[in-house]
Amino acid sequence: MSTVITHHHAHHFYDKEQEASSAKLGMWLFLVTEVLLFSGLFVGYTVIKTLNPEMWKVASAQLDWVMGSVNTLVLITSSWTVALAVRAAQTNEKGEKNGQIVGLLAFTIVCAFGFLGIKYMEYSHKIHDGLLWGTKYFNHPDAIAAMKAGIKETFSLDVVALSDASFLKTLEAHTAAASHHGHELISHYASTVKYADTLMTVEQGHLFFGIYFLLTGLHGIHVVIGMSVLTWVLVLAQKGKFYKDYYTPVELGGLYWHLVDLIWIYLFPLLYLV
Amino acid sequence: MSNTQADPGYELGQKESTNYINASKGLMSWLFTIDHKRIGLMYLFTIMATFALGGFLALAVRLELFTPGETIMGPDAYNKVFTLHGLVMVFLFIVPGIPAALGNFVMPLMLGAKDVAFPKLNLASFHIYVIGTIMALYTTLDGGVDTGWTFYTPYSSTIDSQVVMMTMSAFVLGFSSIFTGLNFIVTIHKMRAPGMTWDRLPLFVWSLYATAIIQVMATPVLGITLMLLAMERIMNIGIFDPALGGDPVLFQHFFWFYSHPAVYIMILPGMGVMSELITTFSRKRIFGYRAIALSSIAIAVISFLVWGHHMFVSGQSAYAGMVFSFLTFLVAIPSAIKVINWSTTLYKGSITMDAPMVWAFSFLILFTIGGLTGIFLGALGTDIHLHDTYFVVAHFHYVMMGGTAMAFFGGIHYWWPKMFGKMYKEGPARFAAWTVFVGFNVTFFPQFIMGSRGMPRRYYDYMPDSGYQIFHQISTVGSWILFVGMLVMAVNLLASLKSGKEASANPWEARSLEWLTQSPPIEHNFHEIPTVVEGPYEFPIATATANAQGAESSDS
Amino acid sequence: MSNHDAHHDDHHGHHVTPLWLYHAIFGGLLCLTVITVWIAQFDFGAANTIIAMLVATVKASLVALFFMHLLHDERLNMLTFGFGLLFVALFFLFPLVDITTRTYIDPIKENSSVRILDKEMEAQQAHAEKHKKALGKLSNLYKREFMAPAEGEGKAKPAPEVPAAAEAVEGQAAEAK
Repeated sequence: MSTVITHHHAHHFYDKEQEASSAKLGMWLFLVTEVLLFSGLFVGYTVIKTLNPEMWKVASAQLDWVMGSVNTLVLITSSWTVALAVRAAQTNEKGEKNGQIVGLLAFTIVCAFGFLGIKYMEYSHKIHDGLLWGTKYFNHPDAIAAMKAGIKETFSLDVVALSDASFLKTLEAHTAAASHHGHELISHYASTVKYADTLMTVEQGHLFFGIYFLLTGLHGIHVVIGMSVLTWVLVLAQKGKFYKDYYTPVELGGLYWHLVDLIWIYLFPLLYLV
Repeated sequence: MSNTQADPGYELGQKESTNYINASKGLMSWLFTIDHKRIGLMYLFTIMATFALGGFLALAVRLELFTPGETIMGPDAYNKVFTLHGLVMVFLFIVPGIPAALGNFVMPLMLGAKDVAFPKLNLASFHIYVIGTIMALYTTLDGGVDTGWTFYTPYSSTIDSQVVMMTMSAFVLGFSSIFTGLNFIVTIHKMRAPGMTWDRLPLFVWSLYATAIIQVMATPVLGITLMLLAMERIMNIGIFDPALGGDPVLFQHFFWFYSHPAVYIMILPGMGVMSELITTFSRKRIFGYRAIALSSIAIAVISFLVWGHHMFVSGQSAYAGMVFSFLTFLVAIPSAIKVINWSTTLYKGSITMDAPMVWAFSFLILFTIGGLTGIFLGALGTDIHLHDTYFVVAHFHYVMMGGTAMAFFGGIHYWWPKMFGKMYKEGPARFAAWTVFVGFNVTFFPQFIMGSRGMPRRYYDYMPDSGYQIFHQISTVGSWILFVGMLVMAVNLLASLKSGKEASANPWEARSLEWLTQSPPIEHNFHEIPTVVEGPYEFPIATATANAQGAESSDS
Repeated sequence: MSNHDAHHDDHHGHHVTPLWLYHAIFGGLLCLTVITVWIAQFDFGAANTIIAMLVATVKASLVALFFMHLLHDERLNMLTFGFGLLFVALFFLFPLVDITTRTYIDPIKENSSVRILDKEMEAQQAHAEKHKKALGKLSNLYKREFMAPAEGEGKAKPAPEVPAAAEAVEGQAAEAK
């Protein structure tokens, strides 16, 4: 635990310096490809927002900025700890800091789990309210028509108007007896009541949520990939592989994790605040 | 003689018995090799196989158009065949073609390096390429796609075919391309031999560098575009769907942000090969080294500014159209710089018309025609008339096949002795090159004419009395000539592996580093890393060479 | 800080950032997060996005320069990243140019440009009227010069050239005025 395994550079490099600096340049190029991958969604965001400014204002106000802020803090903290882990590896002389590297990486991974947990809570709330993409959006004409037909069939009631609170009471009277599908229909109608003054007043609100799920979903996938990479680095650090002359995997894993943070730094205000 | 201090001094006589080909045996030693030369060869043969597949599909398309109405297949089959022809040729042949096959083999040798920076990534790139290829072929057998290789929405997001699978295959192939590009950039930055400064890099390496920039910067956008298209189909997300408030033209922006620069991914390496061929077979220092090198980078950057010229009739704003049209003309400048510098290099050179040089001349002529017709298409007003006609088809075949493919085959003939240590027969090689040149022009020149007269591209049929038939028939006959040329080339090259003469280390008396090591090279390229003291094109003074080689020059 | 840059180029990532700097950057990031949330409650109209993006860019720069070591690393890495951002900018630029100017030629959407288009249409119609008159003159001329001797050998000009000739006549007419 308190020793290090000496690293030998690959045969086609002259020395460790060349190997490390090549690896880092390669990583930066890879990060650039990641930025460009995300930029596609950001361009989509900008274009759709420019085409539907009013809808955007109303729809983005439905996100929970508190959860977004907490998640920002969680990610920034994890970014800080992973930076410290890299520093610990940089200054690791004979393995005396192995434990510190492992601890900091473990804390970072815990933060990542925390981030995903909060994201899960947000997602389940959106799914419950039918704030989804495309034709799955609660206010999409197809979805509304399907709900009306479902209520007619299940409860033998005619939906005269949407967003009618008294009709919702009538529906909720059936709650106890309702099947799973029945519950879904009731909560769908409840959404139309809940968002009567907001989302029900604008068209194409599903586009915002489509972009929201695409952006946060792709980002979430990157969080998961980053966690896996950091876990792998953690296992190697446990074996004492990293010391002042060789810490490339810690550094590259750290860079990847910082990128995940960088993207969130832009995602957060764009989705939750403006 | 040598441009290095430490001359490894490989001559035919002192050739070692082990080289990279026979160093280890067995299928696994090839499939899981991390030697850039072996990976390059595996790429080469896979790519040639896909080229043959794409070629047969093209022959089928041409044969179908020989007569109006149904000739050999129905309209649905026709749509699938031309789509597959486009996809195979673009994603499986031209994009990886020169960089992954020739570049992989030659570039580290040219730099005086033992391998690329990330050999395992290089292997992964090949494996991913094979997986992507298998996915694409599986999709074809599983019903195929009839959207054209451009996957335009809303057709592609609503039509009932295997679009998702096909986009995923292109997505996977994109990774392969990114890995190659990333690897090359790092290799060129970090793995150069001592003394190999940026102004001593062979121009092929410069062009690969420019190509790699585009591969790294543009391919991720293709990835997200195809992912969004898949999301559109699977989840009805609506970004590209006008019925859901989205914008189908946005898809075209996304698509061409990658696919226009991708056109330069295809042509830039070809230009690099040209620079090598022209200077070697003129026995003259390349004219305007720095201009050619920097024009590659300029092309790479400008290529990102012009994509809207594919969208003049798509419904994008007229203002954007004007801006794009203007910017499009900028690309002509660096392209012309190259062509003019090559021509100037030829001037008063002692030119030998060996087979690679015949291909190079084909490139020069065909690319110039392709480039100049591109100016017509870049002009906003003219394009309204020519858009989606056979004029466009002829234009991009002149650039892509007349340009890149000619350079690719020239490069194969040039480096073949280095790759396998065998010489092919010169006579059939030249015959093949000239036949392809003639066949190409017979195939595609009539398409300019019928395109300017309004024959739309991608159409299965045409009216019998519309006057198009004669052009279609000439074109189809041309495709047969083309086929004969390709067949002769393939047979000649493959035969040389069995019965070719032993090649010397430097059969063309070229000056760049790959010719310093023996043919075929040893496993780790060089015993001793050479120290470079001069540029790659320091040929002896032209007049002296002309005297010394008088006999050789006169026979061509 | 920037004075150090040149010296650290050759160190290939061996520069060790002092601990206090990491902590300071972390503190700075937390503060900026609070600021961006706090400032979002005020409505600055179109400037909302710009302000939020400015704050985000400061945060991102701190992460990239210090946590990701770009400041003291090889200059090439910073160039690489910067070059990537340049392409992101291009990707934003052109689609935005397109969608913000698209309505100028789209008469279906209701906006001021429709009126501009109407004016253009009127101007075009007036032009067409003028053209028609000139064409009338020309056809008279044509009839007089070429039609009368019906058996004229090949003198009759082919029809497609009429518009070009019409412009010429129109030009003469304008000059005459």
